[in-house]
Amino acid sequence: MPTFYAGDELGQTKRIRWTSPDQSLVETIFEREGAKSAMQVMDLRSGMLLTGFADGNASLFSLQDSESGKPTLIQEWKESRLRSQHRYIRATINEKGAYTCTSSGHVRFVPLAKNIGETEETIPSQVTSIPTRLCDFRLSPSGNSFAYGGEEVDLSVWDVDTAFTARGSPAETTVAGQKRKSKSSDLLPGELWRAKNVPNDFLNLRQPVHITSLLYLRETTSGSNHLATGTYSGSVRSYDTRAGKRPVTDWKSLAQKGGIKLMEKGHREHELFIADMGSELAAVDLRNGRKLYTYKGLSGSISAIALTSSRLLASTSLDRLLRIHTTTDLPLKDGGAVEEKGQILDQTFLKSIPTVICWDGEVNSGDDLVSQRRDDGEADDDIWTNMPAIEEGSDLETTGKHSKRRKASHVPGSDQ
Amino acid sequence: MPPRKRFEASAIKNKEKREQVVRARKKEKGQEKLKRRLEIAKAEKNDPEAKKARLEKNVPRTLDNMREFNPTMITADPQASSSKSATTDENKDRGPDPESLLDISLDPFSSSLSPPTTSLIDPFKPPKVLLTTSPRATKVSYEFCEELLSVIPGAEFVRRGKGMRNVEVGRIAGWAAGRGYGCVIVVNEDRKVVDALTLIHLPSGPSAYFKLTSIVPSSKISSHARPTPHNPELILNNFVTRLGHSVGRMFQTLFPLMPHFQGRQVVTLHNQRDFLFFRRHRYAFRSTEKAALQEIGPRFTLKLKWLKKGLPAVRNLGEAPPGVMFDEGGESEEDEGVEDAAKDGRDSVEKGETGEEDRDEDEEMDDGEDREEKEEERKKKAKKVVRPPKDDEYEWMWKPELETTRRTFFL
Repeated sequence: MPTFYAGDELGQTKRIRWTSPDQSLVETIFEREGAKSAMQVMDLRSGMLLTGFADGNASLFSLQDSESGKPTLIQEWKESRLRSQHRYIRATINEKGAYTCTSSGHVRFVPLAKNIGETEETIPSQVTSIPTRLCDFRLSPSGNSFAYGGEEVDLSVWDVDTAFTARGSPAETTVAGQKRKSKSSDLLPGELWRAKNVPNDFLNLRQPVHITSLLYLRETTSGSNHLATGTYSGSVRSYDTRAGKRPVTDWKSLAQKGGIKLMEKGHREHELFIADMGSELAAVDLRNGRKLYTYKGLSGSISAIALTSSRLLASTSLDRLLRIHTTTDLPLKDGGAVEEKGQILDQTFLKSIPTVICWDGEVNSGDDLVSQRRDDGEADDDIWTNMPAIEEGSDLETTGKHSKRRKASHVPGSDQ
Repeated sequence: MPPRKRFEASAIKNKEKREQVVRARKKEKGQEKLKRRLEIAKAEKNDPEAKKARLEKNVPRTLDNMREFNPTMITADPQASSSKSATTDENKDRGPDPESLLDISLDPFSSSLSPPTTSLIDPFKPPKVLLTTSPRATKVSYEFCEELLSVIPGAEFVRRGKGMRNVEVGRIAGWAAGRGYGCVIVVNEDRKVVDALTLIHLPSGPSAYFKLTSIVPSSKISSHARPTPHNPELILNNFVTRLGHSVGRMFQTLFPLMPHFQGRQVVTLHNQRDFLFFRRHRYAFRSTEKAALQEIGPRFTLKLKWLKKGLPAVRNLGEAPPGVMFDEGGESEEDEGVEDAAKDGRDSVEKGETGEEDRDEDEEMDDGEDREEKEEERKKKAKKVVRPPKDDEYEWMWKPELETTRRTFFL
């Protein structure tokens, strides 16, 4: 019975409680007054909900201890540097506070307020500037570093503390058209690592850099970060900051139509979900870059996906439907085919276009499909044990051609 | 003696005899049915109630009335939107869901369909529509375009450029949006047959691609009426789902808000099983109850294949990569806008006019005005730069796997 929180183009926040097929309870828990502004980013962590809107406003809510079921507003602020052609690309909550990033490279860190109702004036938020034309921004799982990538902006990993303290003012602009020489000494203050472009193609032409989505695969304490990026041309590349600047793997043509719009890491090892600009949602094996299965029955582009710990996946798409999918285990052998493919369990009509979705993080007892599968396994074992064993020499042992061959080779009088 | 079982006529090996037996049996069966029907007709002749009851009971099951439940249907009875709940009388007249209505009222078409009362839009003025063909079109396309020009008031036809002057549809849409057009229609031709139509709502609106079949020009319709330039009335039938509403509203934006009732012209888009039937008639009331229709034409059928969220994408893979930049002030915006307007003017070669020529023409026309005013006008024009997106997002696309049964429909 997972619960999801979704935001839509009208700026509403909805809570969807999915209990079983055909039974999902959708309720709008928060609606902004005044002009409707689309929700562009959302993050949910330990009962705190962070939302960012197209007009630059961002709000932090608490979802706990609400009698009416409505969220209580803790803080809200406005990203004044955000201009009309740019948008929020990521919002993340940490124990320390909330981070928001826009496509124009304006990152803001808002520390968590101790009391409800404190505004920007009482708690100063820290801001920094990173390059513009960004498409995705992620905070590492530990919160020590962040990474970004965009249109002609290659993957870059920064240290959080240095980023906010070293640069209170934005860096000097480069003249448009001049490319930055990718020397290690050319890292911006706060930047830990920057990726290098893939080698030229077979015509010796430079491959354009356009990262549309990225995520942290793994972060180790020794400082080695494993990241994956999805590009505009439909390839998925994985990087190791310790191993070098070029991508470790480059899997091409994983997207069917357009580029890779979304990427989310699955709970299983080596599992990755990608959504392309068409209506495809697929599970990818990170060991070999093969698509394990795609979900059938999707008619619109996916706008957001959310994973639960109980092997369920919720996706929202531009055709105004929220779908709950099952996810299946990866093959044990690297390169093998998956036994079962993921299915769509249910679809719910949300009356407006949903743009973001998050899982609320609460694991309920009835959720765990893994335990259910274990029961099924036991039932299977029963079937095998109850099956009659076939003895040697009996009629049932051989079939078809083999039996004929046996008969042909059967020499009368020589059998025992 | 045990009862004689009926023997199968197919067991008779002799063809002539077998055919004879089958024919006799079929005739007998037909006569029995006729006898039964005549008895019922005789009984119902004096009892109209019985006839009514029989008709009510024997409703034939068709693909239309056995339609599979689509959760996106916007119905007047919201309780029926879950396939399992039964409709009750108290819920029937509640009307469609208010949130769905709000969503519809805030879609990209609302600015042209329900403009604020303070705006100075003339409801009789037709919206500007740019009509063009696919590249290297032939006479068939031009003839169809001529028909479309008579259907849509406010439509302007422009030929597609040849060779280097052939510009992508996404760029054409961006250019047209900057010039105040409401919609772009691209008629696609394949091997001397017009087969598709792309409707692109401007400035940033959805693009729809329809497959065109069964085109009958008005000259081929016997005793067809003559069209007049009056604004037609619009009838949109059977658009049930949210997608259907979007498509219906898209067609609504092609026509002016207020029709000329004097013209007595009506354009009908009837949706049945996801096929949109386009008809244009002239009506004349013979009495207060009855109206006679005379078809003007053209007549064609549309089927929606996909609906994209924005303008068609333009993937400019060959452009020079800009350097890593930082976003600081607000001034660079307008300069960018002016620069790009000039660049677009040079690039938009569909009409064969360059930006410089445009400016020259303007200067000729504005001989008496001040230079400052010209500069402001240029800046205003320059600010209306509409860029097509880099990638397409689909609100809906048809895939064969979506049609799980023959009773599944999406509009």
